[in-house]
Amino acid sequence: MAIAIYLEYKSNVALYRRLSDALRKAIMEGRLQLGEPMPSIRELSETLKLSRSTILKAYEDLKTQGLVVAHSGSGTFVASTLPGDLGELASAFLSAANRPVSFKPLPLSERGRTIFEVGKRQATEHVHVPALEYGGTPIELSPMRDWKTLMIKHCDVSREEQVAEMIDPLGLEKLREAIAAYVLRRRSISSGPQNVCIFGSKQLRLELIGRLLLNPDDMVAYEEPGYPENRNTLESMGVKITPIAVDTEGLSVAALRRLPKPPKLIYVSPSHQDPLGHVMSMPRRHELLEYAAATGAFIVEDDFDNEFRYGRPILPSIKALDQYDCVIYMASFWKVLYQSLRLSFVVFPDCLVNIGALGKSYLERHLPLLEQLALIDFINDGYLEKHLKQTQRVLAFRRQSLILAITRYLKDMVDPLTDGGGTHLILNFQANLFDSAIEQAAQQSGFNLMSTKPYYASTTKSGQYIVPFASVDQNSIDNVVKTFALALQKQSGRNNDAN
Amino acid sequence: MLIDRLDLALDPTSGVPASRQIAEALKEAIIEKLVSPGVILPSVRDIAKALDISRSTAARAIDELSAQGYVVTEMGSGTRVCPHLPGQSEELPPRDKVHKTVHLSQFGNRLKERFDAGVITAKTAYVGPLLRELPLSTWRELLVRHCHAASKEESQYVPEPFGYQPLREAYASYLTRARAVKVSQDRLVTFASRNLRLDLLARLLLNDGDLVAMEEPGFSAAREQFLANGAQIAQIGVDNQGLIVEQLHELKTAPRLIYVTPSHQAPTGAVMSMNRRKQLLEYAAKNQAYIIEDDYDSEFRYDGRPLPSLQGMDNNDRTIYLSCLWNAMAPVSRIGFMVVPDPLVEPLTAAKGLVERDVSLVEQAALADFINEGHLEKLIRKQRSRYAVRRQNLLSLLAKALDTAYIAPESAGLGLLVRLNNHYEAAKIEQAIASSQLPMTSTRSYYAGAARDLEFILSFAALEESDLAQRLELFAAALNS
Repeated sequence: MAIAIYLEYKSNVALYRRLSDALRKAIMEGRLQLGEPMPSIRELSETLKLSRSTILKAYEDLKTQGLVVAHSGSGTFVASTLPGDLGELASAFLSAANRPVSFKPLPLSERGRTIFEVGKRQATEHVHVPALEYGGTPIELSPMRDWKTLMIKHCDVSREEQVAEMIDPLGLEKLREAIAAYVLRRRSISSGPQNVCIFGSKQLRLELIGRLLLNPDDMVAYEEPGYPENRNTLESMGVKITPIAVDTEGLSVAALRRLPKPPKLIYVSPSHQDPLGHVMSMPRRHELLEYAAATGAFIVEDDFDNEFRYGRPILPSIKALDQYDCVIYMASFWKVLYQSLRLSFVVFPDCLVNIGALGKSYLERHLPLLEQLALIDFINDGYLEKHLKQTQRVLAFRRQSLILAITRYLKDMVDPLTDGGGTHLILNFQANLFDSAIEQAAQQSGFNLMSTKPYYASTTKSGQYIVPFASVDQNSIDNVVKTFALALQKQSGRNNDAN
Repeated sequence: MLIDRLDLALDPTSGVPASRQIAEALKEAIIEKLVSPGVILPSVRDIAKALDISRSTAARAIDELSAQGYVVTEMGSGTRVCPHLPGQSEELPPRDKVHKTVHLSQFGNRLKERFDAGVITAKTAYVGPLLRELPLSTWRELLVRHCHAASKEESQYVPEPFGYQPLREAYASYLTRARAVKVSQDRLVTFASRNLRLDLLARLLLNDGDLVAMEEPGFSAAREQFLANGAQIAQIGVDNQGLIVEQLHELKTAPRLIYVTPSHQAPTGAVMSMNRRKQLLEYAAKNQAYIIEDDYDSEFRYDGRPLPSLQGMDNNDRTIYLSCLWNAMAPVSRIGFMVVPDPLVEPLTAAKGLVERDVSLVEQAALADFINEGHLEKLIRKQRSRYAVRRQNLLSLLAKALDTAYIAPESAGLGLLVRLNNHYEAAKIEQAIASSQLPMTSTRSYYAGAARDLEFILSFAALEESDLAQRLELFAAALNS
């Protein structure tokens, strides 16, 4: 046990006494905890360069003060209760020690206040509910076993060679190659490994892009409704978010053209608009690209929900169509390994490769080595795509049973279903149903749904809900939706009576 | 029929698949406006019949056009030529003009300037423990334990911006024990990326042009982070007692932040004296400044005086304490920690939630057990005795091999500050370092102002004795040749 001990110099005080004073202080401050073993005599004599006899004497001293007890055979321990007045003294000392008196705190900087404000809002607004598991694949399908095997395989001395490489802030060369091949295969992106940059935190991707390209008060066009977390990351930098409406073909480029001046950055989720689930049409993709090329704006293509689709053709990503070097592509493996795999990535356009690497090494210089090595195998040896395929099958089945239950029991209460996203459906309840009634009925019946309200920045929308189906149990869902429908009828009946 | 008008002659000898040939011909027709936007194309069956090809080939051609955005297929109403064609926008500038020059933000420009000036790079060399000297089998066991339990832990885990609570509790008790830091888990922040610690502090606390006092020489990475965020740096000298606090009083305006490495000044190795510590704490309290104490390698002291942290002596809650496991545990874990004063807890929770809300749960859970089961302290003890020997060895080797003007006396850290005698030529030293691969780097980057000539850091920790001896021999031979 390492312990910081400062032997205060006091002339004419014996060395052992100075040591016992220092140890006493450590006990009082709670650094040596009640009932826990004291540092061994050998250790103290090694670190403090004191003789064994001095230390023994100091321990003897502490024993007479009732601060330590010796158990024969197992060593010396801090007493489990401190003697009378000392106990009170210790607790007084403890609270004072752990909570120093604050002077007037330093005021935050201007940008600090913006960050604080936005971050606080995010914490209250966008509550992470594990029960919903919105967006992640169901736990029981998680390829944890494969992942474990790979992690352990790489936790090995023979990886010494790769250590020097881990300091590349862009990520391991081999991993970037694997990802480049993967996005070429699945998303038709032909940029090559030099444009790929790996991140340990999803949020840092947009943080980096925003920090490099945007000054405070610059304009960002953002889907309305749109994913709140990414909007917050941008907003915390003091940029102006301009919400742009989404229709069934995706972000409205016509609305972009009506802006008084073009934005610096355009954020879209074309594979499955988040949360509405619309797939951006091919003409719209071209139109958007050309708008960006003409105005000099960059497009951020967040491809977070491209893995699972149901009966719709796969469209190439906007990045794959980009001939103007203006699309920044981002995706992650979050859907595959819910919490364990934090790695995500960006594919930069050529013009941002150099400055991107510089910015990355500023924000996040080191990436986890084992995870990177495991991920290389996970992609290259086919685990990833095998897992996606298996999951897609199960999800399609669950989605279908949810749709069936909804059409059976909620037909008169909701608008016709749209496609929805890869792991959720969108329900638009009819105007006569109040949100409070819907949420109460959901709670009573155990029907998982989540309001889309946080997704809207400027407009408010009621009666619109996200229903995740990744964890739907096909045996009970019929009953759950039935109970929900009944509860909702009862709730709204009560509301109407009250009105 | 449209197909007849297009004069589609398939060339079976070209080696280009028939579907591609049809797609190309149709694309050309669309671009040439032979087929107007919005027109419905003949059905797959009609195309196949007219050209005498299989339906699947025809369908593939249409798919290809659709993927490229020239046609849109709608269920039930056939395939139409797209009303908005790729590359046909009138407002479009010539392709080579697009994004030739990227307009960076102020922050981006500052980074670029420093890069162009040769001060910062995107890559550095790895300096950290040897993989074979880490307790990998223990770590593997912990991974197995937590990868296994993960599904259960995961489904109930709500990411916390400050990190996994059991890890925070474990590290807080370690810091209290080993470094006498005043810390409870609610003031301890876990960072997967160490770099974010100073970046967040700079953004939360500094306006453009605000003053940050730093040791000169001092850590360049820290300096660059403050500069990139628009701060001004006040260089404060260091002597054998650490930061010269009197120089702070000479500043015209008081700094908002004071960045110090009191346990082991980087790079001189000086330990800040008790007297100076008291002066610095008083200064910070009086001038409404925060102190940032970077306790980057305090684990490694070889002469047995583990000094308590500066933060632990501060009764005014003015000190922000940084610590990290890099030196002990890289590359297995590289998590960084920060202990913040009470008034910063809320702003930092908000700010951290925006940039790094979650860190891999498996790594955090494994690390918590690693600390709680005593492996961390055992590892550090082992490393300490190993490195003490290596340092001693290096000292005796140096005396034989080189003519040194000064060797920093502090028996601590992972590298030795060495000044060579004047008769060596800088250029020749560079060459000798390159050819011998001696882990020796100039201290140039530590200086914001004029650097000291012939001053180097010799890393001794992450190299086995024989290896280091061999490289030093090669180095000396190259230098004296």
